[in-house]
Amino acid sequence: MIQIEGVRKVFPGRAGNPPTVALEEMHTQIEDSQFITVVGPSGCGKTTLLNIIAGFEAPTAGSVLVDGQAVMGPAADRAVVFQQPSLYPWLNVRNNVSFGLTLKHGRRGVDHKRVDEILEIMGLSQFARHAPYELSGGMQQRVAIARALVVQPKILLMDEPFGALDAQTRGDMQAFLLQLWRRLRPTVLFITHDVEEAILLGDRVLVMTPRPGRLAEEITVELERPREYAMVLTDGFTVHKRQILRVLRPDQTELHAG
Amino acid sequence: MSIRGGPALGGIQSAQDQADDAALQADAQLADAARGAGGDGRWRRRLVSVTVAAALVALWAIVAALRVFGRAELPTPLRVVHDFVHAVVQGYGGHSLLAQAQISVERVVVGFIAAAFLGVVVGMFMAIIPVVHDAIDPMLQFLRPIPPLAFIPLLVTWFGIGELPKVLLIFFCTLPIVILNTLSGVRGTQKSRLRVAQCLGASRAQTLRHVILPSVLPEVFTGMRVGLGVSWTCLVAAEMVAASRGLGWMVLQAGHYLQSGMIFVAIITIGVVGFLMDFALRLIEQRVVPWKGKA
Repeated sequence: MIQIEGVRKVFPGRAGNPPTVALEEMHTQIEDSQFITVVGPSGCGKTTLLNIIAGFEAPTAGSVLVDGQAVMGPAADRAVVFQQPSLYPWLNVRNNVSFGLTLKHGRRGVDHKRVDEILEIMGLSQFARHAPYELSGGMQQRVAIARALVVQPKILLMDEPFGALDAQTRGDMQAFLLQLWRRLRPTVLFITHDVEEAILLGDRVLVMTPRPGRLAEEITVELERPREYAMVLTDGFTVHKRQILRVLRPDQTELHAG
Repeated sequence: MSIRGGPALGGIQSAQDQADDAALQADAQLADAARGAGGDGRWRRRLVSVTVAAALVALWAIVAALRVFGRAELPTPLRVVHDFVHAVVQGYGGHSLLAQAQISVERVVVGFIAAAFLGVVVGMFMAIIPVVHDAIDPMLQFLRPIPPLAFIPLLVTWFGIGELPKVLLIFFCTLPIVILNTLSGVRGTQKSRLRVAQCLGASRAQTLRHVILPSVLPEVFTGMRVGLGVSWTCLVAAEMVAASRGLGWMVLQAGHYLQSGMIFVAIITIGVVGFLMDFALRLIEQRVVPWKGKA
């Protein structure tokens, strides 16, 4: 369980500018194995929230607890996938995926069966010996996800992981991620600025608004699982979409979702 | 390359030229790729290069044949070929051209390898430990604008005209370039690459060894290639002031005796050897950092 208790983040102002409140006091709680999406425009503090949970940044006030333990810095129980795959080009796909295991157990101690298995799940088996830059964007991101999951983290933090992909690939990756999540059941915190993506993937959507960044609304998604893309046409989906747009674009909602 | 910047201008300017050259080359390759030019476009471009070079030689031959300048000032191309054969077979100044080139290359290689090795180590330490950076950086910034040629009289006074002053000169010219490139490489390490490692439980030492070090390699090679160009320029300059062998010495010696053909032979050899050394380093680079420019 992740507890976010009164987390606030203020970046000091530079060169005479006033300080920026990136994240206004925030409380929420995420149960194990839940798929949480965070949606909001840029500047709403969603990446700051992820960085604080990951332990890359310390909150100005408040704290994040993972299973009752305060987060003090990055650790192997919380894996992160960024918008850019950030693979290591000097390692082939297989060695990128097993990177975390190599750090922990040394080159000889790598559990090759587990690496093979995750490569298989990810549809990367044939590309194990390829260099990362020889793969397409979607495939590179699959390698990044495999690299994060191979160490079996309890929590998977994803910062707009499909934001750089084309619409088709993006849809494929969403379906793929859901399958993976059903199988491994990590807790997922998935950040996006795409409202449809947030609803389609999440059990719960945290809607954030900017200036100052704050949690404006939490919506529990009432769509059945397994989810599929066709659900965006259902009434239930539209209801959620309208709920979210009402928060994000109060003046235009009726125009767009009406 | 080495000829163009001119040793008297000091190494830094010609280093800049070389970096520009590399950038131009990369641009040209990009343009090629954009045009989808396979064999056809490339051959046309090569044809242009070869034609212009041939035209220049032809112009040279004509000007020389017309005796616009005296024979001692401008040798004919044939004269240069003749002198070249002579330098290879009979030698010049007691050593064959190959031996002259060899001694020059040896001096560069020793100084360059020492500088490349120490430069990477110092650059890494500077990037990681702020105190080391603050201690060394002012010195580097001070030394950088000084043309290497300015140090030669001092080096000769202190160390004579043996091998040591030349190797030292090359070492000190190349060192700052490699250090600064390594430094900027470490600083430029993508944050996300570091963060991924931290999330996977990497210690500081592991991050350094498995992420930062390989990340820096492409920039280290850039530094080494610029550094090698500078080394070569410095060396030729040093050999012109204080040496009894080597290609730089050949240029000056031939100049004293108005053997303009031999000057041409030495200059052309300096250019060719410089090109070959850069080419060799580029081959090594392709083996060591095949991902350079791709990721």
